Amino acid sequence: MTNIFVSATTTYNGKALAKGQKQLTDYEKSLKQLGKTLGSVFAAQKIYAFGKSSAQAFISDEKAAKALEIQLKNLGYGYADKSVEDYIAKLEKMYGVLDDQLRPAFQTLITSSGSLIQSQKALGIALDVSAATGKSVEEVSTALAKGYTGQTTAISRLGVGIDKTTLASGDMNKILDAIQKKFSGQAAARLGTYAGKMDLLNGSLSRSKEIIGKGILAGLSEGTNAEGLKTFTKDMENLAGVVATLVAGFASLISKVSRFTAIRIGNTNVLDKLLSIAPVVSAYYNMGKQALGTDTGARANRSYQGGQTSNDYYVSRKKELDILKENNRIAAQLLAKQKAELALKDLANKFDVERINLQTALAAATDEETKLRIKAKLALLDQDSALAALYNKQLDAANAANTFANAAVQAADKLFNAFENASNYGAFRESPYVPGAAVASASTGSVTVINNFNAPTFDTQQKINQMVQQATLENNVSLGITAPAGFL
Amino acid sequence: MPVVVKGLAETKRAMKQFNPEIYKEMQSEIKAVMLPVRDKARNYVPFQTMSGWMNQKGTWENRGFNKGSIEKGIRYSAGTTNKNDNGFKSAFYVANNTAAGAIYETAGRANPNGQPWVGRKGKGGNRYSHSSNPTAGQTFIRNMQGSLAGADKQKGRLLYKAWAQDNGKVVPAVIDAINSAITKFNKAAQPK
Repeated sequence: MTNIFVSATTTYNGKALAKGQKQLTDYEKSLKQLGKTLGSVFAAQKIYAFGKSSAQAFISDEKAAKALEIQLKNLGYGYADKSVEDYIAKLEKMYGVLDDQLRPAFQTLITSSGSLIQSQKALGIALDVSAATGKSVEEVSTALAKGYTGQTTAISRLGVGIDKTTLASGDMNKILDAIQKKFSGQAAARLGTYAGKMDLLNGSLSRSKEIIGKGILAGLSEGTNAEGLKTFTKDMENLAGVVATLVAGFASLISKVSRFTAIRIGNTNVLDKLLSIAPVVSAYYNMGKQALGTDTGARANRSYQGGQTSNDYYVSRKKELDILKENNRIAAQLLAKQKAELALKDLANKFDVERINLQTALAAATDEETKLRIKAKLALLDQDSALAALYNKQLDAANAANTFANAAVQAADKLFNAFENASNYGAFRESPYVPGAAVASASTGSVTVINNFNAPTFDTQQKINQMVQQATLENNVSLGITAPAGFL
Repeated sequence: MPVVVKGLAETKRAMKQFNPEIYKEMQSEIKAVMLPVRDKARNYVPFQTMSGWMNQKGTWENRGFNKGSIEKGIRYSAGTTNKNDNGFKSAFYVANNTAAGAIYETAGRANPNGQPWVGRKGKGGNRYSHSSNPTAGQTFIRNMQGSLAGADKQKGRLLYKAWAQDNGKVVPAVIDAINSAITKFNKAAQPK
């Protein structure tokens, strides 16, 4: 690809830049007015499309709000629904992030953390991280929510620069503090940028659309009865043109008359006064007020709307704190009770006569077999079946080794006797070499003759006994068997 | 001189969203200003040049001179280029996109008498002439029709030449078109 090109808009030019910036500022200001003057800018056809999308926006908004409301109820925070909505609305206005993003994010966080306070803290941090990294609020909050369930990989992938030790600890308080330290104030700082201002404007437009959408739906509901709802689509098509014109007219009218709403004469505002003079228009105006609720300038009316005040918010926060304190108190009581039970058990052990006797006997015991028996008894006393079974096996092994040793000694005796008898007959008197010697069987005690047996010179029975004992000991060591009682 | 318009992309996007008519009008006005530059540059492409270069086979197979291809390769775009090393993007630009076009545009700009000759066995690199003919570069540049115009790196025989002659008229016209569109947009957005 060649890079030979000429362009009208690349090189720096201070004068043009200043002019461009001024124009953009004007344009920015104008955009803020745009939401209020849509009726006068758009043609009737576009108003119809706008109305349709507004209704859709309100439906989506209401659906998301309902989902969050149910989620809060399921988690035992039903009482805090109003304060949560208020919190989200404030965040939306403050940071220009749409409630369509904030609600799912908050829902994800509260489902994972189970705490309102933690969720609010995490959402605030998610907004900061989102503003700094350019990732969506939902993406960041999902990563944080995973952190509450012990999965910190997603947090590390956010690129927030948290060290591995902090992540590995899994302590979300530590992790959130570390993130907050790095990204604090990013969301607020973003509002100073052009993009941030555009987001605020978008938020404002979105809210306006929701309010308008609610009005349109309320109006349509008013115009149809229960039977008529079945033919809603048909009615919609037939009336589309009329509705579009009416909405355009009303939008234009609202843009003009909204300036009078703030002016009051006595206790009545000028708009009410003026409309009371024109009975027909006034009737429509009152119908509209009835359909939309009294506060037409407020946020779209939903089932949860109830004039949430800051006092209510703090009351609900206090309730949550009280619940947490109560939980902590119960946990502390349980821990104290467990400690007391453990101390009592230790004391009981100290005054257990049978145990004292067994411990004394164990201390006095000299051979391994006795020690094993006592240990097994102690294990039975402690109801430790696994340890008792282990001691039992060791005892069995020791018994088997004893039996084997006894049999070996007997066999050696018989062997010695056989040699002695043979020597009495002069068979080995001249040489210790035995071409066809006899060995003893440990199991049966019988004597078998083996050819080419290079037997050592046996002088006494004591020496043979020593050799057999040595062999048995080596055998025991190689098999891991405890030395039997009385063995040298 | 061309100008930097801060937030031009956002402005275009917003216009496209809120008032596509004004956006289209602005695009058309800028196009109308830029197209004469493109056409002028196309007119500077010679009907024929060295016969060897016009041969479409051999070493120059992929960069053989073809008047039609070079002319088609000089195009206007209302989009934006990729960022350059300094982070600037260009919008509303005319580009000379073919290899042969680029050679004709810039040959002799750095070395008016051809690259230093080192021959077949001389040291490597594309900054030296490795031809067996020591005067190959000089002959190539001398036989090329058309003269270089412009300054520094914006010096050439086709596009840069046309731009050097017309940018004094084009840039103010483009700025006017943008300003006019913004003013119209603002006016349309004002409460009536």
